[in-house]
Amino acid sequence: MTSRETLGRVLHDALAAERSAPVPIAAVKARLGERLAITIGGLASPPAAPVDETVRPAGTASSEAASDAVSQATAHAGGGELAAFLAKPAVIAVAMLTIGFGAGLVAAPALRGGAATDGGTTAYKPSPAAGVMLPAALESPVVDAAVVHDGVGAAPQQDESGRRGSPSGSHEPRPTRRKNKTPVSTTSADSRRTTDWDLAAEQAIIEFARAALHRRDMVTAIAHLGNHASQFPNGRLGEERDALWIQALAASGDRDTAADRLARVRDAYPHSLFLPVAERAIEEPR
Amino acid sequence: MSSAQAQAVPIEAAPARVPPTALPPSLAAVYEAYFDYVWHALRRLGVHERDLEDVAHDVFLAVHRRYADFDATRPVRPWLFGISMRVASDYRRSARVRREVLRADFPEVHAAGRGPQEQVSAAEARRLVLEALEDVEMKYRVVFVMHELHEHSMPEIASVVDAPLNTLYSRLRLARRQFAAAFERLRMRGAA
Repeated sequence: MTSRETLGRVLHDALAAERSAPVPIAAVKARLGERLAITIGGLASPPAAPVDETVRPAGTASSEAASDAVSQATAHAGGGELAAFLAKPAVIAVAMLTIGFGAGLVAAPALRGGAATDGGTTAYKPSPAAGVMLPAALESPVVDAAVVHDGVGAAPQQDESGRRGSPSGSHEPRPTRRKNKTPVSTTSADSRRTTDWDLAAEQAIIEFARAALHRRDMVTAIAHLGNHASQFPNGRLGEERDALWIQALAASGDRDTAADRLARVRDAYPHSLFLPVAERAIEEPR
Repeated sequence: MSSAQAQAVPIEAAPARVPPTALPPSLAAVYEAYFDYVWHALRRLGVHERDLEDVAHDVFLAVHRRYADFDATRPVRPWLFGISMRVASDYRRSARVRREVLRADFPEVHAAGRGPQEQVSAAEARRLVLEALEDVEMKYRVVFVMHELHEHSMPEIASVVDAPLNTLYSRLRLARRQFAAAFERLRMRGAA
C-alpha cells in the first residue's frame, strides 16, 4: 500500500512539496554551528569512540591496532561521510590509548582481584610528554582502585554532627561556610557559568559511564564513575552516578558489593527515582 | 543544499562565520551532512519555527555526547531521527509550547527555476501539511513522518520506534487516515 493509493492526488502533491521543503539559508546553519562550537568548548573535547581495547595496559596499543580499528570502522560504515564520521574519533581514541589513557583504567586488575597500582591510586592523566589534550573532565581525577573495587570509599559518610554526605563522598574536609564574607572577584554571571560548566562536565562523565555500561564494558564504566566520585563528591548527579555504579557492579557479578552500595544509597536517598532501576539490576538473573 | 539552490538567493552571500574545524571532526561531519535532515525532522515533529535553532542545537549536542554509542553497522539517519524525536518530545512537553500556526520565520533558500506563483502554492501546501500533522497523534505521526516524508523503510523505523513491524504498519494506516481527515478539514476551511 502506497501513499498514492490512500491519500489522493492533492494530498500527494502537498506531501511532495513538503518533502522538497527549502532549507534555511547558510547563515542560519553557520550561526548554529558557532553556538554548538561554543557549547562544546565548555564541555571540552569530544568523548572517544568505542574501542574494544579500552583496558589495555599503557603503551601496548600499537599503530597496527590503530589502523585496524580505523579500517574496520570504515568498512562497516560503507565509506563516504560516515567513514569520516567514524574514522577520526577512532584515531583519537587509539591515540589516547597509546599515550596511556588505558593506564587510567586500572580498575580492571582491581575488579579481577589483582593488586592495586601505585600504592592504591591511579590516574587518568596521560603522560605529560605525550602532549595530547584529554577532555577536561578526564584530566585530573585520581581513582582509588580499592574504592573502585569494593565501593567502600564511596559510602555515605556521616560527620560528627550527624549530617549525611553523599554516598560517594570523599574523605576531604567539608568546606565550611565563612561568616565574614570577603569580596569575591567573580561576578554572579561568572559563577553561574562556572556552575553550568561543572554540571556539563559531570554530565559528560556520567554519559561516558552510561555508554560503557550499555556496551557491557563494566571496568570502564566503574572507572568513569570513580572519576566522577573523586571530582564531584557532592555533585548534582550523585544519585545517578550511584545508580549506574550499582548496575555496573551487579552486571560485573559483584552482587554483594552492589547490594551493600544499594543499601547505603537507599539510606541516603530514600525517595530517589533511580532506586527501582538499581534494585532491578541486582534482582535480575545473571 | 545543492549549489544551484544556494546561488538562487542573494542573502546567501553572507559568509559563514564558523570554520568547519571549530567543531569536533566527527560532529562537524554529521552536522555538515545531516543538518537539513535534522532541521526538517524537527519541523515535522512539531517544533515551532522560532524554536528550531534552539532545539536543533540540543539535538546536535546529544549527537556529540552519544556518538560513542553509535553502532557503525546502522544507518545514520534513523539514529539521528531517534535523537531528534526524543529532543522534540521534551520540547513539546515543556510548558512554554503552545499550539500555534506553524510558519516559516527563517529565511529559506528557494528552489531555482520555480515561478513566484508556484512557490506560493508550494508554501501553502507545506503549511497545510504541517498543520495537518498537528492533528495526528504523536505515536502515529512519528511513523508517518519517517515513512511519508523522510522515506525511511519500515525496518529502519522499527529500529527507532522499537515496535513490531505489524504494529508500525497499523500505525501508518491510522496516521494516514488522521492526516487525510485533518488535511481535508483545513482545505475546506481555507476555501470557505
